[in-house]
Amino acid sequence: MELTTKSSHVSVEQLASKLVLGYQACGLPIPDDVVESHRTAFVALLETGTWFTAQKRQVILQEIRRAQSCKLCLQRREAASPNWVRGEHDTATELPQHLIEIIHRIATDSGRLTHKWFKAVTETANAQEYIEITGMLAILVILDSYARGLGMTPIEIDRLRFPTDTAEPTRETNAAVVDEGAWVPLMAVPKSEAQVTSGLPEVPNIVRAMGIVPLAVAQFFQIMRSHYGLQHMNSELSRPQIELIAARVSSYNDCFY
Amino acid sequence: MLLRESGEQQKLNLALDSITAEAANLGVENEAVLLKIAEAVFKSNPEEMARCRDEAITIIGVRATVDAIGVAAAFNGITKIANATGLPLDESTALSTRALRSDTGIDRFSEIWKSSQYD
Repeated sequence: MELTTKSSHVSVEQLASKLVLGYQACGLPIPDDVVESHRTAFVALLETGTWFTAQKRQVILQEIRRAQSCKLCLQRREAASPNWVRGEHDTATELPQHLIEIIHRIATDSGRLTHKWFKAVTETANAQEYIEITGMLAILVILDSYARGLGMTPIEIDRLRFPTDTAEPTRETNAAVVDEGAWVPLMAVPKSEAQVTSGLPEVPNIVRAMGIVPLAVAQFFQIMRSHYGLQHMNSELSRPQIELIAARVSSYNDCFY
Repeated sequence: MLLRESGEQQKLNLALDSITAEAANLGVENEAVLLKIAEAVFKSNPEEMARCRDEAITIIGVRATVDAIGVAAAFNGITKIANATGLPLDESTALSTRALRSDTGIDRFSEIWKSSQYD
């Protein structure tokens, strides 16, 4: 897969600097730790992953953005069931069709995914690739949602120069996983005394969900923690106010968890 | 689910059964504008977001508005992971929220319900 590099294209580092400057100049008090976590997350998105090269990850990001204007995805969103609508996605890249389907469906209609759909798409893509894509997508959603929320334009991935990171993915799999009823194996964690006493899990399932790709867990929660934590949060909002917003957004996303 | 716990910790009697309703009235301070932020961030409409942001800055202040946008953005992202992995509730959460899920209609987001509707 070839990506052309035009002279007007900029490097990851230049775009990351632009992101930071944009936050600093937007006239709103963006906390320093948020600015730094977003810069770190953006740079990491364009580095070699566990299952994809840096080049492939750039292409995946472009496809995530393209999904927002895909006619097939729009028709599916308007249908009573997305699975009743057949057709081809509008694509921005030459990624294989099964990856396009994964990216577009999670990006545009994640609330109506089913286990049957998951099993079909992971007949070709392995679960680790699926998780790496999902983690990347979730990070990009946070970056884009935050930028738009502040009245800023999301960072321009299409203007990115070819990544200079040419390392090969390690394709390492975390063997310490267990089947606990999710579509993917969850990170194995011992049930501690504290958990039994409090009734609350020390490692919530949402953290364990990407356990087969530890790098994806680290990259996602690096940015997630700058906006939300189960404990110590440096926020002007009260805990009920924070959880109200969290619950409402989860509801809009048809999220059971 | 954590909204219920945080309300209990702060001794607030929150009407959680309306969290999924269009016009929620739960009893959280400044909830109307916070819910508008949640909606605007999810829908991602620039004009609606700008109106909502200005209103929120007037009511809850600029730093709280930025924090609220951050929480909404974060959950817009993390829900994609939960949805895409068919993630079950943690065992203790599943047991303690059975009635709440039924009352609020959250059970319609479950894997069993989705399969029955979309497969």
